[in-house]
Amino acid sequence: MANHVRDDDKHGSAARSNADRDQADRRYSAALVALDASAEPSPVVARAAAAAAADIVRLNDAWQHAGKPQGPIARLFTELGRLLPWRRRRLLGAMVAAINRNTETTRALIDTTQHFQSHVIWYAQTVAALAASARRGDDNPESVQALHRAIHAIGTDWLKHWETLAARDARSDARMAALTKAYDELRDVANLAQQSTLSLKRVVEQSAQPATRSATGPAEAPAAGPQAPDPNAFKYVGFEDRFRGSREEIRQRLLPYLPLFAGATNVVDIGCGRGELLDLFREQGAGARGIDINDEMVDTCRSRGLQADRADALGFLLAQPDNSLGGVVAIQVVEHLEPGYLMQLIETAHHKLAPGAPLVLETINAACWAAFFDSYIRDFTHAHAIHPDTLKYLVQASGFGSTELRFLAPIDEYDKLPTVKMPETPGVADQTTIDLVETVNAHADRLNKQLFTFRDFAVVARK
Amino acid sequence: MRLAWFSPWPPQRSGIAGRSAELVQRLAARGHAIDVFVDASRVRPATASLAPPDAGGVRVLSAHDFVWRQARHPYDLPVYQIGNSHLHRFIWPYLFRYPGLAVLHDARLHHARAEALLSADRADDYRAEFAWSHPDAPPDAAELAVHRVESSLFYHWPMLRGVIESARLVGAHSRGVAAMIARDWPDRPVEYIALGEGRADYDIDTARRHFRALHGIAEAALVVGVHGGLTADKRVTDILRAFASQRAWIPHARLLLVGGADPWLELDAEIAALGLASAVCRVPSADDEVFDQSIAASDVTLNLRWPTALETSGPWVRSLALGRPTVVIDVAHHAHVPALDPRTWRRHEPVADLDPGADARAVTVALDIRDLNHSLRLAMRRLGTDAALRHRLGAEARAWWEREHTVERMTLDYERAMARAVAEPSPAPSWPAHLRPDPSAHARDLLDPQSWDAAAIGARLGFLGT
Repeated sequence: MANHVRDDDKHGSAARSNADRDQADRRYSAALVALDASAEPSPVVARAAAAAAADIVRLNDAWQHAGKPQGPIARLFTELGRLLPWRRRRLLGAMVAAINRNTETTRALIDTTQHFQSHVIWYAQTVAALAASARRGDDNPESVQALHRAIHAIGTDWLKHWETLAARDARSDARMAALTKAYDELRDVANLAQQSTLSLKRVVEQSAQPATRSATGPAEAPAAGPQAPDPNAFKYVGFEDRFRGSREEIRQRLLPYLPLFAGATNVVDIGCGRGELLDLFREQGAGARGIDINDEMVDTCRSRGLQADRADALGFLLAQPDNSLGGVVAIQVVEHLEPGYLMQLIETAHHKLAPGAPLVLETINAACWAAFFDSYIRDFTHAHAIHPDTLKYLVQASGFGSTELRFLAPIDEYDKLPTVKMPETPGVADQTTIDLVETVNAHADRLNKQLFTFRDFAVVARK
Repeated sequence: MRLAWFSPWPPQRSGIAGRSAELVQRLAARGHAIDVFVDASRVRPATASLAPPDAGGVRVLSAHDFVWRQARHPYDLPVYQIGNSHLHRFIWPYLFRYPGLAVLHDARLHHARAEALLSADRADDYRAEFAWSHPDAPPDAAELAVHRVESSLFYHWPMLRGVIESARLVGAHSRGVAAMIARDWPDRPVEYIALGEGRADYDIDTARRHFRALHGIAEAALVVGVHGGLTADKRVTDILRAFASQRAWIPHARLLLVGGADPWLELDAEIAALGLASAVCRVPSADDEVFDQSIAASDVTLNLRWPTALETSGPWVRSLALGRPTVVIDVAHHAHVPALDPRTWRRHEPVADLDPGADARAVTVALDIRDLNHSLRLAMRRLGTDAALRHRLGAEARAWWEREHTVERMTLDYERAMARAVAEPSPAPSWPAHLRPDPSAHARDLLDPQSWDAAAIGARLGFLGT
């Protein structure tokens, strides 16, 4: 196709076609003039022919030196006269001159003929070129060529605008990404500033009215006591905002627990944090309250109308009547606790839960390499990593009859170690290669089972 | 790794051929065994043993030998150098049938695909491939090419789908093109592979003096250089006119035009008409050495090709390597390159990042194609009179080249991409019929006595130019 050549408007196909036709026309005219000229009588040949004719006359004169002989005697004397030396030389000289002249004439004729032939060939070629350009012209009349030029011009103009906008769009995308990242960082800083302000406000208020909190605090939270608020509590809220995940993400992860608490009342969410699970309990109609030792978390829950108190978990449970609780749940809490405290907490939960009521203890699966390095060591408040079997044993040893381990949040297949795929065609790989691939794949499988399994696990038990 | 390397190759006059040869030698030096498959009608192949290539070896073979060599000793990976030119035409049949690493030097392939099909009188196949490549485009748009209408509209329909969906992995020589492919084909793997070109250690001052002395250019003259084939889409006419208009401000300037000129430009007549005969220096032919010398001799280089096939310009990269301030057209696939707009001498709006100091770290000057003539005059005048700006842009250009465009970087990028391509599964595209022909159909047709006249056989052999 012609249009594989990049070009601009000025040199479009129509312009080239016109130029081609003009050139063919000029060449045809030139060839025709040359052909006409070559068909004219050649003066060289004419001169040579005249000279040759004169030579022939001289030759005839030399041959017929005594005129045309009449009778046998006259012919005999004429023949004898031709033998005379001076006459013989004259005759031979005239003959040689005539032959030479004739050769020149023949050469001039040949040259002229070749000249003419070459002009005929030239002419024929230009006729062919002219005919071809005329055919192209027939296929591509002026109006069509104008249309082609217009299409090309419109396409070029449109492309200029399109490409300019595309460049602007690409930069806009990059700027939007930069702005989004900056916004996220700014939001974290703003949250920290807000929490810091609230914390300072509380300290100021409590300094002015030290009895206010105990007077207005919930009677159901005796273990909380009149403890001084932690001025750094807001930092942990900010930490959760940045690293734990959005509220919506946490809600989605907690949804599978809801069926365990269907119809339950008086459920306690230990370490309720920002209240995602309390939200779900409220939506489900389950009666639940949250406790947390972080004032900022408690305030966050209360600001959304959730029932939450600042309280120590073990103190709170000890204050509840035996067999009174409809469920106890602690999401991402046990890894923050010392061993002795944890064992006492589980045992106390068993005492306070109603028969058949569920206990859920969810924590990071530190037996998974990715979870340990991605999540566990990121939170500086984590005290002890707990193996799934250990936590299950502690729950069983505290008197819970029905106990199961649930593994949650599987590692994405994309993040696991890949295995090598063997060609399906038999005979492509030799046995050494097959052995090597199988060994590598076995190692990958083993490592995947050890290191890239599930990020979290939960012990789910019923009293 | 045993590689089957499909590419234009020296002595073909193509930037890709030269760079490909340099890259292959570097990969071989790193232990790869490489058979280079070329168009035997344009490049004389070597004769080689039936055995596979040795590690570190390079053999140049006819592309027609690939299939049986692949059947006998399969290669680890075919690598295809793809461009929007007829020089790559011989690669198509192998690209579609033997999935490998497809490296896009151009990301608009419409002209090449149309040429391959329409020059073989396969208009229906072209129409089918156009519709398959661009299902949202009106099918009648294909008639533009079928009826030989030249149009910039072809750049809007790049006909990339065949390459993207047949390759195990696509390599792109610009970050913008890689992002575009990732956006349009989210399920297909794509990698950015730096385009490495230019010299790290080059005696610029000596080359500059030598070239200027050879061509009678004074040391004090300000040289504006245009390097590479001089065609209409390099905006040479616009450059001449802008240069003529700015001589009052930069009377000591010379315009250096390096490379063969398209005769349709009537360049000499244009130069004479503008009264520039004494101010223009033309070097119609230049090998790599002279080419680099001419860049070194330039104070500013202009790379104004537009429209583009979304390539990364080799002469531009070589200019960056030699620390020259450059002027380019503002295009989307290079929007990540920090560039000044000569209308404001700030970065183009909206700026891509939030760094307020980045104007001072601009690498090039980019012109809005809609404002080409005005912007080009502004750029020439400022760069012609502001030596500090030239120096700053040149230093940033060199730093950008060291980060993005060294040959070493490209070699490592290739190795990374090749390793990933080998691990990627072969795709299973839903080809249009002409790209999945029945392999025995043509043989059966040829055995049919009714098709034994020469014209029919020739037409049937057209499938070789898939």
